[in-house]
Amino acid sequence: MKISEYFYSTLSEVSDINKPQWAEKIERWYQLDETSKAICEALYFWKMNERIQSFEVLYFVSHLGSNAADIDFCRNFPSPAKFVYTLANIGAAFACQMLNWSGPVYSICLAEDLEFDSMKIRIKNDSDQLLWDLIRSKNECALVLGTSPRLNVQGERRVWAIQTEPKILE
Amino acid sequence: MRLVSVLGAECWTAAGNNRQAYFNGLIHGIDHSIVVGEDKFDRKVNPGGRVCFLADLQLPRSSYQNLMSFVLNHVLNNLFDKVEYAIRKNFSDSSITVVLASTKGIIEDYVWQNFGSQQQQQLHDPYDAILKLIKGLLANRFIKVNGLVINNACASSHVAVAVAQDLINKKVSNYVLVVGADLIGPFIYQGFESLKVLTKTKNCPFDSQRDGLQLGEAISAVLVGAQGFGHISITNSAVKSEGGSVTRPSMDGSCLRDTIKSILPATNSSAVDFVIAHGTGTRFNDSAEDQALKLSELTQVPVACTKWSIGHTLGASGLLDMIAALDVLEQQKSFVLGNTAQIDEKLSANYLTSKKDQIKKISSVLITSLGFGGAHASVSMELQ
Repeated sequence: MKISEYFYSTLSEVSDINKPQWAEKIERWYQLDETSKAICEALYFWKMNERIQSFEVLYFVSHLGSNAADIDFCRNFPSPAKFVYTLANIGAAFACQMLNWSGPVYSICLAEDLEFDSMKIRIKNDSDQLLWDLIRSKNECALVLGTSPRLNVQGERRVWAIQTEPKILE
Repeated sequence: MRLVSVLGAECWTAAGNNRQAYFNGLIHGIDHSIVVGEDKFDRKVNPGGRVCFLADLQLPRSSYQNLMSFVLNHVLNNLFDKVEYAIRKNFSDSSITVVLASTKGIIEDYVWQNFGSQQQQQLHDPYDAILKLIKGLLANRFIKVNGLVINNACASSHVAVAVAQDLINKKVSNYVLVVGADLIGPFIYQGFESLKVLTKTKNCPFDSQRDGLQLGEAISAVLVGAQGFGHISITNSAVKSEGGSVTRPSMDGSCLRDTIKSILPATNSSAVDFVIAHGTGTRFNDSAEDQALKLSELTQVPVACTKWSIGHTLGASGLLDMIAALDVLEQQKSFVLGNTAQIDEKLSANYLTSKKDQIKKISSVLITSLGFGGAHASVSMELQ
């Protein structure tokens, strides 16, 4: 099992002047919402550092879905470019683009604030938690990619990833 | 094969507050949509789009949670009363997992109160309130109720069914209740209107004159269990996403084809008697779906869809299509594309437009789905 986390500063500017290194991978990269930008940054960083291995299934886990994008759409009502991001699975599409990957994607919205640390504890303890049961039931190499609408005190958005292998799921 | 049995299903749609009303509308070619005026919602919207609102509902739209609660209560009680009577069993010694498929839940109750403030926004959860409602409604029927929310846009129901199959086949749960629930308020309506995908005439999927989709509301539920309970099964499911475009499916049909091919018996497309396509009525989606059917060598199989009758019910749409498939298999009656007059000549599949086109025997149905975020999915159902 490989566990990664990445902190994306919400003050980071993505613009023509400050074009991200991953820009070529994402069509209309300049329109991305903040969560999607954070996901692209994190995946770019992890790919560069060989943190992401091949996987067969992607679990895209968002706490509270697309909260930030929902509010952004209302503020800019009714902007079609903003509306697209109000679907909670959109970040997974950008993950597919960043990783040049296609396959089964399960986009799951968690009600509780299942932050990265508690997720780790649950997995290590092999506790009876439904999401973990589902991942284990498939017994495949999985990438679990997570985000949260909550920012840390530095104003950073956390993106986390857990990679599983079938043998550890036995 | 990841076969699970369907124990029962129920829904409330624009056709009425039960499954039979929905199927009657499909059989009799009834389009339940109305044109939205600018004062339909408590927030001004661009008028002219078509929406199929829940029928026979006298509650005000000031609280979507109240609407959801009232309808869920009716749908779930109807479903479980019928199932318990049919299988001569109550579930008081069983546990159940709820898999909720919804794109935006009760977003309208939260988001408008929030956006005006420049201060730290109050976080909202448009799904958990629904999950709690469902858990509360099932608490007196089951010993333990677990729950999970799936948001794969308009393919959410298909993904939820795939999850249900995994949970049952790996014995994580004995029973899974898949619930598809989405309501239409100004947030959703105006979002789709801004994308210019709503029809201004009528929704006519696969027609040469098709000009967009109509939205719809639905609360639907399908109870599944291990093999051997019922005479109709969900035999297989497949989901596949790609990042080609976030708002369009893979236009060459290859991604949806992959899901179809992975659930059909190899080189045996004749195993499908009827296809219920996603059929939104938008030019891109219908073309992509047709391509997928062509690549899957399914151009001879009769194809229809449901959205011309009850609208595009978003996260619930796949489950509504599965409920239609259930009635097709049980009643051995097919339906046609109600509003479609002239099939687009660029399309290849065998779209049903005339009531004369009844299929004699239907043993298996393929249900396809597409969603924003590059989501593609297929489910197969069979009479056992």
